[in-house]
Amino acid sequence: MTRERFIDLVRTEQEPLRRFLLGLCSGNASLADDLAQDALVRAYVASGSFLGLSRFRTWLFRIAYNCFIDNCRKAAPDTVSSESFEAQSVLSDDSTDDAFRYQQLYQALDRISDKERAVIVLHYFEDHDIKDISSIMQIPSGTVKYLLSIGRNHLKEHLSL
Amino acid sequence: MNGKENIEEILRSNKPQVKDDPTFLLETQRRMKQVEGIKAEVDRQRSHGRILLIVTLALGIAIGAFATFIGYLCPFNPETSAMAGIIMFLTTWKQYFLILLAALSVSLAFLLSRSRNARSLTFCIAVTVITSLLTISCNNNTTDGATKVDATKWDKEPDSHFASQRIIPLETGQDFLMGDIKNITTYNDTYFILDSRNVIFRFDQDGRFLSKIARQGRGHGEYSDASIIDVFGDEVYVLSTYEKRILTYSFDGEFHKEISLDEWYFDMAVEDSYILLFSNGSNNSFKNYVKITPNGEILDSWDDFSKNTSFTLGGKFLNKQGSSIFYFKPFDYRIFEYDGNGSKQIAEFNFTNNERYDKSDMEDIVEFNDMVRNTEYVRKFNSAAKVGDKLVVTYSMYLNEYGIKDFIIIDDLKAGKCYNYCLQEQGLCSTPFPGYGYYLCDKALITYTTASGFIMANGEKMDKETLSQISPEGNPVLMRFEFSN
Repeated sequence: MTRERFIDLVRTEQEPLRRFLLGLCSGNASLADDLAQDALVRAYVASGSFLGLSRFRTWLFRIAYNCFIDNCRKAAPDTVSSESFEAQSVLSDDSTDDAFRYQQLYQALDRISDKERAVIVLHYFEDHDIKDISSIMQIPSGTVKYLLSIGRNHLKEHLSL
Repeated sequence: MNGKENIEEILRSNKPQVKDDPTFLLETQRRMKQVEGIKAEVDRQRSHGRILLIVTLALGIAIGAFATFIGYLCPFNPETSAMAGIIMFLTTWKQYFLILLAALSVSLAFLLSRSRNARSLTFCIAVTVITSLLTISCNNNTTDGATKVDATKWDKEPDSHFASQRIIPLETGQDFLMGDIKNITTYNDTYFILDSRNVIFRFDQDGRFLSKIARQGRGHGEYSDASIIDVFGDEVYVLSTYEKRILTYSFDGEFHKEISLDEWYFDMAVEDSYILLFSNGSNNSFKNYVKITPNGEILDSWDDFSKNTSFTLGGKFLNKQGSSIFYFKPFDYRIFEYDGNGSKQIAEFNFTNNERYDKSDMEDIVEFNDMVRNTEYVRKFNSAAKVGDKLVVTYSMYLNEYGIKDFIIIDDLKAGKCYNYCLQEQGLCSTPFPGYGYYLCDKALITYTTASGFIMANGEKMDKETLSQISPEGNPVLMRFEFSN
């Protein structure tokens, strides 16, 4: 795959990819973009091995998820949370500032496990179905459903709903 | 609205918004360009690696095929080919190779310690320790003090090394007629002789028959094959190689005991508290020298020679003199001494650049000289021992149309001179040779010949009294040459 062709494909996929990683990184935008670029470079190097058996987005998200996991292993356990937002207030409809609006949600996401967070982000933010999530995270569908269920429960607890 | 729907609604309605960032794709492209260079280099290295692998495999196959072809044309003989020299060289100098390897490992360990590569450092330290241990173990059979014998000079007056000569015609009788002699040993001025029919004869110092042991058979206390005999105390030890056992008898043939062995052994020397056995196997699973108790328990075993080449049989591999046992390997040209506790190399022989063999009455002297001087002709050691201050070796050479010639080396350690001469050409103490076997026992060289052969060679020179004792159809004649002090 040529660089130009690859860039064309990425142009449409970059926004969902960055959003996915932003959710995974609990709102740390600079880390999310860095991981997104890392994932794109890895995808480009491995583009020869992309056989088209899955959607390009699924393949790209799988690489991005692996980049995120690698980063979590390398980084100190609380690197992400230390850069997360500290929010005090309850989720409010009249919040006008976007950053403030997401604060509580990111804080709650940061408190659940990486896998639960990944499943929640993929399903609710990126509208992926169970099968896609299973393919991206390379775990069985049953596990995805389970993670989705407990992730929701944990979030509810953290959001005090 | 229940909890599940509530949280789902919150999540769906709070999807993060990613701000449009034009630098994102530009930065991604910049990174891709960097990676392209690395990717190209990796691809190039992979490609080169594949080519190198294919070339190496092809080369290996070609070399293997060539070696097979050469091996087919010139079959490898480890005892005579140049490989024997290489193997001997490596065997002789192995300690120095190991020391060099240890030094290299230490240097490498030192260098790696600076780079803090713990695994490699550990490996190098392990190599150093192992190499040091190997080096130390190689020195167990020390070569310190071994005499370097220059056997390139020929002696014109060999008789001066002998104090006396004795011709001993063995008594002949209807009940003690001997076949060919297989082995001779002496004990307290008595000769014990094993013949080709596996009968053991005992003669006194003048050749008078005393007794015999004829226990051939398959019953209790009997042997169907006897290879070597030795005597200690009041017992005769009979080694039966192919039956893997030793049997002991009184001098009159009364069976005493049997010692079972684990392998085929081809020579035996019996001492007070142990029996030393020799096996010629090139098989790595057992050692060439094994020391056992009189009950057959293994006390020790070792190798002093390379296992790459097997021993060629023929010769007396273990020679008792005093309290020591001397041994050698026929084509190795080194002599070892075993004193009951350990072995050490006592001599190493050099035959390169032999001087011309000067025997004026010999025909074809030039050709004979050239052959004797040619180091490619293999010298096969037959017996060796240190007799008093003399180191004595008998060896033979096959010299084309001259046939097999027997030689003797006497290295006078006291005088610092080494003598080497051809027995058949010069004779010994006015006795023309050949003898058929050479045994170094009781500070003497003992050899023998058939009665008819002895009469033919010496008949004109012998006095009538001696001649009258020898019947052409009788038992063989022993010749005993006492070494001078």
